[in-house]
Amino acid sequence: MTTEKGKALTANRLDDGLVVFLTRSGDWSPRIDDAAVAQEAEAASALEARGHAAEAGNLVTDAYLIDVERVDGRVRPSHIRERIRTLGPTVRTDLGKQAEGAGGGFQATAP
Amino acid sequence: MPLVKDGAIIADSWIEADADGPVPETGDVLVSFDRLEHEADDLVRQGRRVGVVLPNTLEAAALAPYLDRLDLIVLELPKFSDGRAFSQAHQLSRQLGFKAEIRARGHIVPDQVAFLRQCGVETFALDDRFELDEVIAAATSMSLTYQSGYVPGHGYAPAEVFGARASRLAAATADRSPSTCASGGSNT
Amino acid sequence: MYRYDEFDHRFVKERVSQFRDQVERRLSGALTEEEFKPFRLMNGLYLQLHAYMLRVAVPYGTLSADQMRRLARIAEVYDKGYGHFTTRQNIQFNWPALKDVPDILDELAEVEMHAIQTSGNCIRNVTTDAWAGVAADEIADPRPVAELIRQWSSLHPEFSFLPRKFKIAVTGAPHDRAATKAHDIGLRLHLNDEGEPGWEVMVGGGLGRTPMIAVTVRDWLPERELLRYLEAIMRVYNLAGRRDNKYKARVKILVHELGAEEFRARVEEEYARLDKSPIEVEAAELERIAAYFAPPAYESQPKVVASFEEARLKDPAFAQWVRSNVAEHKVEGYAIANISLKPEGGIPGDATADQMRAVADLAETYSFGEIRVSHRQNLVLPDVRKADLHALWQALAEHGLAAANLDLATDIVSCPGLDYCALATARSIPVAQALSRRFADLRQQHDIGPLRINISGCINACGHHHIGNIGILGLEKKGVEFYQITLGGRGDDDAAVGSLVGPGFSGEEVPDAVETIVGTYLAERADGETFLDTYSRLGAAPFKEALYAAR
Repeated sequence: MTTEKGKALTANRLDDGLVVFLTRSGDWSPRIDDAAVAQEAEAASALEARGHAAEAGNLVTDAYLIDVERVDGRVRPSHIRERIRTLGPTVRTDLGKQAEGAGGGFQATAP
Repeated sequence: MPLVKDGAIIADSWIEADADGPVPETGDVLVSFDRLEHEADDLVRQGRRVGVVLPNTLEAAALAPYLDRLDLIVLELPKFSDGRAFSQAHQLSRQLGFKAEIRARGHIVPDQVAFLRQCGVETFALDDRFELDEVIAAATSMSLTYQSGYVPGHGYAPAEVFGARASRLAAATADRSPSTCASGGSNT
Repeated sequence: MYRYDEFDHRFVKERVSQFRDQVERRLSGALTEEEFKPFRLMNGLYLQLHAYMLRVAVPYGTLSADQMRRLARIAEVYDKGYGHFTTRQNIQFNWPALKDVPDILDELAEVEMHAIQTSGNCIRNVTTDAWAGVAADEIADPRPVAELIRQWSSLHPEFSFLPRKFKIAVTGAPHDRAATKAHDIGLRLHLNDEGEPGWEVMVGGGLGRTPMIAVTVRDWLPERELLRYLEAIMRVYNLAGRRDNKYKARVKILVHELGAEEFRARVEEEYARLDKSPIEVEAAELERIAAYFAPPAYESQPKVVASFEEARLKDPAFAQWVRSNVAEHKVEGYAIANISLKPEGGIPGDATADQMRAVADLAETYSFGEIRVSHRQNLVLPDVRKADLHALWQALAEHGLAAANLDLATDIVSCPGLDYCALATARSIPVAQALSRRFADLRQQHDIGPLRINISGCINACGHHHIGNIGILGLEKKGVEFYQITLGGRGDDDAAVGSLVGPGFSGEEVPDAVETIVGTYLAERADGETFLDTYSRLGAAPFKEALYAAR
């Protein structure tokens, strides 16, 4: 079981507000498992730079780094807020990405 | 972007003086509020017009002693979300009766131009990013205003809703009531 | 209710067209996000945790059946089949796409609705008592004034870039059901000795990080001077309100820092010099608007409605609902029917599209087509014949809308919290749901009596927890949610901010803690005392002891 701690870049798609993550190939995926995880500060800055470029290109808005861990290929945000943001409302599990198979391999509230 | 007034680009004749140092002998000179306060008597003379930049931390009343000697007041928006200039413009134009040019500069978004004009601002110095047609479109997008006392004195002007309603009601009432002229009768 | 004339129609149409253009310029990059954001907000569109959120205005909480049907359609076509009614009488949709919003606004404009200024640093929705116009204790219907202020504040050229948001509430009844003292400006109607209407003007109330109760700046302002005086207040605030710190930018901070006397002096100074000439046209406008609020064609009803009394005797569940949810109407034989949006274990304030349509139909059948939204996230049918109440209740029950819990323990007010909101620090809805299940027993709820529980998921206090009799504030430490409890808050004429009872509780501990608090009240109360009465008499001590002695 391999665990990598690092940072991923997230944003909202400009035209519909969907939560997306920057992938290694530089596009944006709603699945957090596709996210590029930067383990060093330099790599994290590079992610941020690409985020700003995408903002300037009017693709996404409000791009920012989040703390994540990647465990056996599945990415999990460290903070409960980001976990909820990745999955959808905990009180309506029939809504959001969790209901569309685009959530993640974790629970919002699990430690 | 060059100076805009009533949907057209106009030339800017004003030279802005430094914080200290000499001021041009003739022509239109724009000074800071500090300089105006200290040098008002010297500045105003034949062949020269004087303008002042009013910081947005001051109320319009600060300029009251100088209004009859000023041909330009520049209001600033350091950030477009800082709306003090709107009230300053209104106080200057409506309460203090300032009739000469009020200009807005700084971080202004075209969508604010209509509101600023309604508050009494006449000319605009906008960032180079913006195009004239963008400004005109934004400034003329609303043909109505609900508030009273915010109609620009010249150029594009929205209609006052409350006033229009009152006029309409008055006209309707006049139509219904007997008219001495029309019927040829009298009130006696 | 108010109906748009051609000017109002043209205004909202132009506004939508303007916003459509702004959206295009944003998508093309002609406007940056920073520049677009205030205009996006001034059209009620937020960027929230999962998606954009559109807050549609329900002016002073009054809706027609057709408008409610349109909201149902918007929920279905553009959203995920439901909407959320808020603590400022508005409705929120949680999943619209930015590119669809101009179309949504066009559809709203067709039924005389909009999302203008439901966000942004401008004057927001004017709210009032959900029983306005029909409550038995009311002096006069405050809604014509609310409508006048709504129009006057819409796209105000001078006051659209304020230091911060600005909220106004009005009440026409001696019992303040609109929480006017918790607003930036609160207006209370009083008649003078000659029977003329005038308004007590209060400034500087607000919840959030620094809760404050408004101060009175004018005891009695003649109604015709209202907009002139409001202009003076707004100008003082616009020029002097703090702009250096977002958390110190509300007018309540200005009033507090200047002191009430100095603030009042500045307003009066501005009022003395501003242009009063619009008074006539504004007074005429108020008169024109007032005509729209003429009472509906009430039918004459007998003093005792036999069918209603019989139904109450025969049907205990109906009787229970009447006891809590039916309020006294000013017209004999009529009643105010309160529709709870707090079913057991439900999400407070949420309604499905089907439920919205059901309420619209019932309003048409039983309430002259009119619906109200209350700031406690419930709905109201304001004009129901007592003779119709039983049939209405049965229909409500079919749609899960007959919870008999108005103002009782499970009539919980909760913001959306961390499940939806980008500003939240903790979840609020699961706490509301747990409490709702814990206190579900109706007989127990009636025994407890009136109890307002308010939950906010962060310090911005959109759940109004400061004025909850029991207030719950969700916070977070190291990624773990915890909850602080306040007691003794109230939003009425004796408005008061609740006091923190002690250290916080985990989410799991909250229902036990609230049960302990309620249990303490039940043990200590004197005859006929409500929770608030007992708390006022005894203070926090017995509650603190019950909660923390064991720790």
